[in-house]
Amino acid sequence: MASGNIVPWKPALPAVALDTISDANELAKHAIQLRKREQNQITANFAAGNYEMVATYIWSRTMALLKKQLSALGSAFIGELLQRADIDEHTDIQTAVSETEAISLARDLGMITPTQTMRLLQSQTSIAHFSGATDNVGDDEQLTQEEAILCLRVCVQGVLSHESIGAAEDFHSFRKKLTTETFTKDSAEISKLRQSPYFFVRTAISVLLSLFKSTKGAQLEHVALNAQLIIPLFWKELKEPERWQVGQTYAVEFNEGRKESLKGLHTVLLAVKGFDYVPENLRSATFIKVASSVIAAHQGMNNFYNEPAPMAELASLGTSIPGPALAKCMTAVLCVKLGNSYGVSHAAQSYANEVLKGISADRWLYYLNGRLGEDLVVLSELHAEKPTKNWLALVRPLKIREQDVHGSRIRELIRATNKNDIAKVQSAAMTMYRTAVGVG
Amino acid sequence: MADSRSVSFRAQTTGAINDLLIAEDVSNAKLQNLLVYFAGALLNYKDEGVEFSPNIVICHDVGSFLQSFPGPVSYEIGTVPFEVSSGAQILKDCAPLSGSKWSIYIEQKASTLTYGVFSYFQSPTAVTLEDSMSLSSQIFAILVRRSSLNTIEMRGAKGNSASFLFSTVLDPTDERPPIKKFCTKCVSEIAASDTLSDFYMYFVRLVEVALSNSHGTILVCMNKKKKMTAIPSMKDAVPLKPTLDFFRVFAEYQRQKSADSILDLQRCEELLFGFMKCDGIVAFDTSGQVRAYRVFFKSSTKGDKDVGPIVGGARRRAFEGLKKLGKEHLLAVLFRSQDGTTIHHEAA
Repeated sequence: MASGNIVPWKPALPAVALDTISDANELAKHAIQLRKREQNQITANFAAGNYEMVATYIWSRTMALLKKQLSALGSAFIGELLQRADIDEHTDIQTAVSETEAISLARDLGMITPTQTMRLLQSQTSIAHFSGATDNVGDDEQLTQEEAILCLRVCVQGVLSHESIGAAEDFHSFRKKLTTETFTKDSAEISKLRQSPYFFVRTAISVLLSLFKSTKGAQLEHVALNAQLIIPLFWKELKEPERWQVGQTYAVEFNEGRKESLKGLHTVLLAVKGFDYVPENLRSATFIKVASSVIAAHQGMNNFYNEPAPMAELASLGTSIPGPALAKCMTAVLCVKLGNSYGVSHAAQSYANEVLKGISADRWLYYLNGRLGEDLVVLSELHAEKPTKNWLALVRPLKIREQDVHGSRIRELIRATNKNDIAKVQSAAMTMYRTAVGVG
Repeated sequence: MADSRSVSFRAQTTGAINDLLIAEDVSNAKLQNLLVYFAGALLNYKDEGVEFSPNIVICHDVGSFLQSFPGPVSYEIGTVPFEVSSGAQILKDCAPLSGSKWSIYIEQKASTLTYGVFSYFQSPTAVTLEDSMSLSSQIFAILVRRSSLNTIEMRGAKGNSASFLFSTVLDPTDERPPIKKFCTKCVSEIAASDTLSDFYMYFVRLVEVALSNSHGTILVCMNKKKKMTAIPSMKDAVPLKPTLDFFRVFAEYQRQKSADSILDLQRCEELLFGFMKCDGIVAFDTSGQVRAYRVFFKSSTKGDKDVGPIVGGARRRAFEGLKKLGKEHLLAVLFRSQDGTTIHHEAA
């Protein structure tokens, strides 16, 4: 797969090129999703030097608006894309979806560009630090004007300068076509998908699987035929978590008693010989739900105080983590073990260690080969020194062999880890991170 | 000249099984005879005085057959020669192990039969074994089961099926439409939602299973605002306090999908199966709740002239009486006789 930007649905281009603008007043004028009064307040607070306050406000509004746009796609569908069984049609996306999840999803759906994704995630780190941390920020430390401008610019570029409706239109169109047309190998959509970065393929698979659950009759027939074309076409490239997702959907449909969709999924699994990926039970939904709450706590305010409770719950579920939930649980445990640039939640460590005791060498390899390359949460932590040191302390004793991991970048990361080389670990993680967001 | 005839169930059964096997692309006289044996044996199979009606799957390879099922488990019990007489041995060894969660498998080899029991992960709403047969259309497999008191059903992986009705008074009828009609009434006052459509599917299947486990019963559906005591002819009843609210428990299961919520639902199911095995009528309302059981109908009008001659016992007479109660008392009645006759009546 190429890493080019030929995608089945294209991100909306920013209404105006804002990269060269550094004037808060000018930038605020482009934030058309904000009321005039809000735009004026932003300008006034910048002028008064209240950078932290104004950046935090802009960030909160941007995230709220982004989640609002995502929720327009339907909460249940968002839950499907995020593989979170705890999100259904009644769930409030504003509270249930973490900021990183919202940003990643917006990127996957083509609502924002990979560069905007990277910048938003960078701003998220700064805002979370200054707004959430109390003990770790000195009285003389504050968010700088440049950081606040950076935050304002990317928020305006990615979200605030767009009409609230109309986001992900191309995506909508692609999704609709999956239910109204039967593609062939030569269809333009399939050709584009072949040349797309992995996360688009992953999203396409998620969309297809989600449609199995929500469509009936003729629509379901189109979906089933498209799945029988698309999934086998990409099966070899699909990573383990995505393969488990296909198997998990089959198990869910089986246990929900949906005979019609089951036939289509059965044909797909038969074609790819993928029945090994059908989980033995549906316990994974519980694991994913709790692991998501650990990640949300890690990314939220007061994370050191909020991580222990969900981490304890995750540990209490037992060490026999079902395959479909393994990637999410690994991310959750690594969030706790790596911490952030200010340290770790000490109270959560023992619970994380408990879970890690049950992670065999094979399962580590599963995570490293199947998910780390896409794991924005963990890769973003490896920019900072403390989490990187924690990574080395955790992973180095595992003595993972380079030849057991796939891909030059992950191999580089493991090589650097085994050599205890912090700088190279950070550099490899940064490269992987840039690739994951689509700018590498 | 006097005419002398003998009519054999076996001959008819053999013919129908032969047709089924041909439709499933199989031609094997030994297999045909074995299936004929099971058709008769399952009708009233008892071991140590206990009745069993196991599901039996005959296939070439149990591993291939079970790959379509989430979380399959199988235990091999033994191997016997591929002969009709081995059928009795298989039932003797496996029938007591079978139940709602465990079924019997038989792997058919050239000269032997390897048999055992299997199960798979089944939530309360999971696709049934009979419905999932057609998923494995690429392999050979035939399911034999007793679908009601007098009926044996055989279903092949390629989608062909045959029902064998061992009765001289019944016509082969599809019992599903009357059950579905009754269940539609029982959920008619639940607000429309995705949960409702899932619940309806589940509820229909639950009532089907409960009826086939019973030895005949009558189910009634009444308005949820109506009190049992307000119907003079149905005062003799055991009201449930609180009512058995299937929809609430099901919705909870749908929301949580936890082990606790599955157990709650299973507990309700077991209670319903128990109600249906008791004497008397089971009363549902229009919101998917069981309101009472052991309800006994006593006609308030003696000597009804407008009712024609009633064929059947007390249950059938009660059904005919219930039909006259009218919409103000009962909205629907479902009658199931001991021999499997299923009749739905909706109040006009």
